[in-house]
Amino acid sequence: MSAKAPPAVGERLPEKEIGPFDAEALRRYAEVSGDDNPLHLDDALAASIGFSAPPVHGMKLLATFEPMLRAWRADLELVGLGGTFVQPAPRGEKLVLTGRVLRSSQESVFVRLYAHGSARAPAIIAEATLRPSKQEV
Amino acid sequence: MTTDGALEFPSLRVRVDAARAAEFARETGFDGAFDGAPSCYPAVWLTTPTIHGAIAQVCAQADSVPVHESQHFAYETPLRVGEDYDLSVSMRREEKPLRLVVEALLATLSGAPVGRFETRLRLVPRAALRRDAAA
Repeated sequence: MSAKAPPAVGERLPEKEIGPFDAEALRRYAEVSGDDNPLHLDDALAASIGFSAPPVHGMKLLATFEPMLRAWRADLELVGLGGTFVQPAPRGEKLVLTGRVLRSSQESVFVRLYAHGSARAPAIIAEATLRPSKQEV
Repeated sequence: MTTDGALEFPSLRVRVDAARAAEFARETGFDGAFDGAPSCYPAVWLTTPTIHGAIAQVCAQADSVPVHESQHFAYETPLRVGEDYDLSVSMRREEKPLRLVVEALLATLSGAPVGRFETRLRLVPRAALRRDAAA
C-alpha cells in the first residue's frame, strides 16, 4: 500500500470546538493528572486574584490538540507537541482549536496550532511535529 | 536547590499505567477507541511528591504562585502503555522574570532515549497578584 502524500503547506486543519468545561471536568482532570493547583478548582481563590472564574488547566487544553491531529491525519505520528499559555481560559467557556501546516516534507510535518476562547488573544499558541507513522493505519 | 539555582532529582522509575492513561485520554478529548499513551501523559509524572514538593518549596520561599507558562514534549520513540521507564528530572530557577524551568529526560530501562520534556513556570509574587486584583 502506498503512503499517503504529505499535507500541503498552508493546509488548514478542520476546526474543533471543545468545552465548555465545568467544575466537575476540572476536578476530574486534577485527579487524573495530579495537578491539584487550587487556582483551577477554587472559585474564591481565583476571584481573589482577579479571575472571573477558575482557569482551565493549560496542560488539559494543550493535550486536546493530539486527538484533533489524529482525527486529521491518522497516518502521521506525533513526535513533538509544545505550547505557550498566553491567556487563561476561564471555566465555562467554549474554545476553538485551529491549525495550519507551516512546513511539510516526506520526513516531517510542522503544524502551528491555536486555541481561542472569547478573548482577542489566543489561550494557547502551540506547535506540533509529526512524522509518517511506522505502523500500518 | 544549589546556589546557582539548579537541582537534579534522583532518577525516577515511572510507568505508563493503562487505567490512568485511559482516564487521561478521556479527560483530554480522545474518543473511547484510543488505547495508547497520550503524548502529554508524562505531565502526570511531574506531579509526583518529590518534584511537586520541590516546586512548592521554591514558590513558598519566593512567596509566589506558579503559573504554567509553556510546556513541550518531544519523542524519539512512542510511549508504550504498560512500559517502565527511567525519568531524569532537573530544575533550575531563572531571575528576571522569576521562573522555574523543569527539564526531564525519559529513557528505557536499558538507557535508550525515548523523550524529553520541558515545563516553564512563571513565579508570580503574591503581592503583585493582590495588587492586580485590587486595581
